[in-house]
Amino acid sequence: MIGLMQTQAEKMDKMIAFLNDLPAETYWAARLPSPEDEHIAQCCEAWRQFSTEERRAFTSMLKQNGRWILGIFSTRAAMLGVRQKSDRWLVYGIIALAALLGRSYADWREVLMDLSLLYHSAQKVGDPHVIFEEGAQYVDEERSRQLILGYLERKPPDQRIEVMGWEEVEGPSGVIYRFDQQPIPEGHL
Amino acid sequence: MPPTLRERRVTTLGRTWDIEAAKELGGGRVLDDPNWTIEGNYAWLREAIENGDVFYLASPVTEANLLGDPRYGGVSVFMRELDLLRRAGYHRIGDYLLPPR
Repeated sequence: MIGLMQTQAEKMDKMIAFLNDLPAETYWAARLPSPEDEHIAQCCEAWRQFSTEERRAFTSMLKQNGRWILGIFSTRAAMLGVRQKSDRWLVYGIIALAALLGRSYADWREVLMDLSLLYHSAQKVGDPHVIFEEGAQYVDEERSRQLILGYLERKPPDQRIEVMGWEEVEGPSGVIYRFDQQPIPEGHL
Repeated sequence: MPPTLRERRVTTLGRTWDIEAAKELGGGRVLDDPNWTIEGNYAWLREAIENGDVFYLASPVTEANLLGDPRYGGVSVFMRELDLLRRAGYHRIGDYLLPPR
């Protein structure tokens, strides 16, 4: 049993090190999908199995870069969800935001900007209520749950990605999300 | 703060956790909107600028608070707010940003 627990702790340490050390700029620009996307999806899958205490430990070990990587993943997952017509990516995107939020210091305004894309993609792929509620099952912190599920209750004009500074562009490989006229990375084309 | 500005309305800026702490301490006006959007945030700031508000900085101006991830051009929402105020002619004295006039 102790051996098993150590293995679980070691796995978590490896996940955290991966998230904290992955260069954010490189990951954002990487081809969609990338091996890193699958790796982070596996972290989200592991999060589903974690206890509340393990989730808290996970979030507390994230550095700023690790939180950025999870936020970037959520946006990449929003694009992948539409491109592959798969709600799996969108649920992982919500879990990634829950993991970065935790009880830690995260500016909830930036999380709302991230959520707008997941909501927008969820509308294209299926029922946003079903997708958001599926993701919220793995959120322990009440404030985080309220933030995530609260997006469903907004007035439609306040759910649009444009009011969060984002726009949708159709690229050769499918949907691309771009913030405030930022250059589109080649890997997203 | 210069005496001429003491009567001005005070608006609080910062990262959300610091704004919440300032609000609990009875700080200045904050944008506390469950339907927050960045578009609404800019409109709220522009109104405050036009009104000649003094801004209280609830968060320290540190690299950690100013930087953002590459999706957002590497800057945080807080940094975007400060940039808007800088372009409007505001200048910083201690924890306050003061209007040009």
